[in-house]
Amino acid sequence: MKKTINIPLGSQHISLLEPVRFKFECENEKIIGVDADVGFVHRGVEKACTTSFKFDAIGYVVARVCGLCAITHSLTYTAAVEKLLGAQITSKAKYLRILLLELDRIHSHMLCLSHTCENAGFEAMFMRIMGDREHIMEIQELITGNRVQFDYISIGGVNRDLAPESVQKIKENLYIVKQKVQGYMDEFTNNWSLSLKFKGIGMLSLDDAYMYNAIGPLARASGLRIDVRNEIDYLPYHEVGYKMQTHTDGDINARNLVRLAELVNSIEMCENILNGLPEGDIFTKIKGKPQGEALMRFEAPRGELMYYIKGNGSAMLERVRIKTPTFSCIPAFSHIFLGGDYADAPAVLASFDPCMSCTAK
Amino acid sequence: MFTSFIKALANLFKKPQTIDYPVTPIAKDKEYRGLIEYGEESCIYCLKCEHACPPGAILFVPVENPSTNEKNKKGLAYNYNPYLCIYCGECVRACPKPEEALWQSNKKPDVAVKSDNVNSGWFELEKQHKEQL
Amino acid sequence: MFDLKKYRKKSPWILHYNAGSCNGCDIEILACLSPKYDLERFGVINTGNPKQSDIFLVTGPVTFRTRERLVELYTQMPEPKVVIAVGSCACTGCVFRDMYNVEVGIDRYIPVDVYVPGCASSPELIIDGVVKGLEILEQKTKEMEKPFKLFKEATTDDGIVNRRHSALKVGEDDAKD
Repeated sequence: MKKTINIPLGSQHISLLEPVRFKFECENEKIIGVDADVGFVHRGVEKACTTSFKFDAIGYVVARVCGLCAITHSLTYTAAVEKLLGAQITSKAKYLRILLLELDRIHSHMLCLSHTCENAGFEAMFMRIMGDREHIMEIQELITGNRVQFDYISIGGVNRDLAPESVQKIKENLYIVKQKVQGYMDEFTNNWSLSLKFKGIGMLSLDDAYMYNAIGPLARASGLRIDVRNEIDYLPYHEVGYKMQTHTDGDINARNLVRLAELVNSIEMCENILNGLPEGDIFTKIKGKPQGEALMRFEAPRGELMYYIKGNGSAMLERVRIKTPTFSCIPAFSHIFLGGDYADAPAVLASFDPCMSCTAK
Repeated sequence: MFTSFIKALANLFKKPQTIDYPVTPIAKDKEYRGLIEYGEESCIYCLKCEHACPPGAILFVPVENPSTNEKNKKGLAYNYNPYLCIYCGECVRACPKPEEALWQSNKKPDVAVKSDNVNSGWFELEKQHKEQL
Repeated sequence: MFDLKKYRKKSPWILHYNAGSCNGCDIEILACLSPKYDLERFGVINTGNPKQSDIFLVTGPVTFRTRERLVELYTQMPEPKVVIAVGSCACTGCVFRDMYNVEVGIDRYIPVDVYVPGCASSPELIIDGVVKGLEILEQKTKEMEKPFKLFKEATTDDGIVNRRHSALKVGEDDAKD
């Protein structure tokens, strides 16, 4: 007689924003086996990039692979094409690109924190964080013209300039958000009922993180010091005040604290950029067709994103390959679920911050 | 418990965070990316906007009684679908006369119902466009 | 005293399904339920149960693996119901129109009542769409309550009464000639 039962966390669930299916094999409420099924969102983007679209329109197609890290996809593709064409962009364009990347990271981390609290049962915190996130969405609408999906970067620079009147409003909103984030740090460490739900659950030790190849905030919360912003010199991150944040515990509480610390660091970087923005042009015209191979890496809010493109001298590219951060973390996910309760599974899944539309392009 | 009582009393007299939308309209910024608008008299029919659009929301299709513009040699008419557009602005950047013939306003698109035939009406235009190539 | 027709339009409940989208429109639906653009003033709650909801919000172009789940969720919802397609991808397919794993828009599979454009559509347009959906829901409730006959008149053939074809299809007019 079988002692284990199979329970699905299916493709339509109230705590899931995206379709993904996990099949848990449980014995008396303890999970002993995991089977992950991603691939509900596969649309065929890589094949269409080589047959239907020319190389200067692909930047808009690739941004629609994921809505939360849209500008990172667009920037990585554009940087790889500029490397093939041998183009130089002005330093004002580089600083504006960093500004938007960090604004994107701030609003994505706030969404992940509020979603984790909602799955733990604390709906008041979800409403509070989403209400404060609206200040950041107003700034994004002021700079680029739309709240999500910016369409800001094209080959040779950026599309719009920053008017001097809006700089004052941006600084006020960033100051308001910084005050509130100090309040959240207080709440997440000292609240007794949240600590029962978050401390000691979903552990990942340092040796396991190294063996299963975890990246992003998941690895930094276990003590592993990897970050792409530390290793590249294409964008001037060390001049604007970047610091790596780590923690040693490895449970859900540690991941929340790492994300909050990264939020504060990103707000400081944005204020430094606004204070010291240089003068100059934002767009230089570039001619030519791409020929050869190129590889480019950047840091999305969830980890390391990599692009490989290959051109042969015509307007259509020959091969585009995308490696997304959530795809590398799937073995680590399957290892964390083992040994825990079934009732904790939605909260643990929301703390990984999975982005399934990036995974199955 | 005493601090929560004081906080609740202070919240009673603050302004609410909600904007009650259909009753009070929200003013949009001047630079908001909205609908694309077309001025027919200044168009020179170079067809650059049709090649530059990523999803293909602008189509020039031959009709029987075309407009009386002297640049319109093949008898084409302009068609635009706001339910396919991604509002990126590439067509405005590719146009040689960006303020007179094609520009981007800050108006919001309308909401449609079933009888407007948003999807099935566009398949006919795509077939006509492919035949003339 | 207990009039269900009047209370149905005062508190419609929502079911939300992501049929392969990029998550941009889903974040905006989540932002609609947040304090700045509050949908809960209209009495709306986000449930995950198809048997308890009136309005179906769908995002994303339909991929081949999600179309069976979409049709199953649609048939499990009780009448009267309204389907709203949120975002340009759900209306016509947007940039994904020629890709190999994608159907071109939702209305190839289920009948859609309201189309909301935009990439990604903003919360103000979603509120406009839901308000219009409520008017259509009220109209459908009134049509459902109209009385209709179930049986035709019995026909006679040489004095023998023939009752074989006396059942009418639902909604068909009784042809009296």
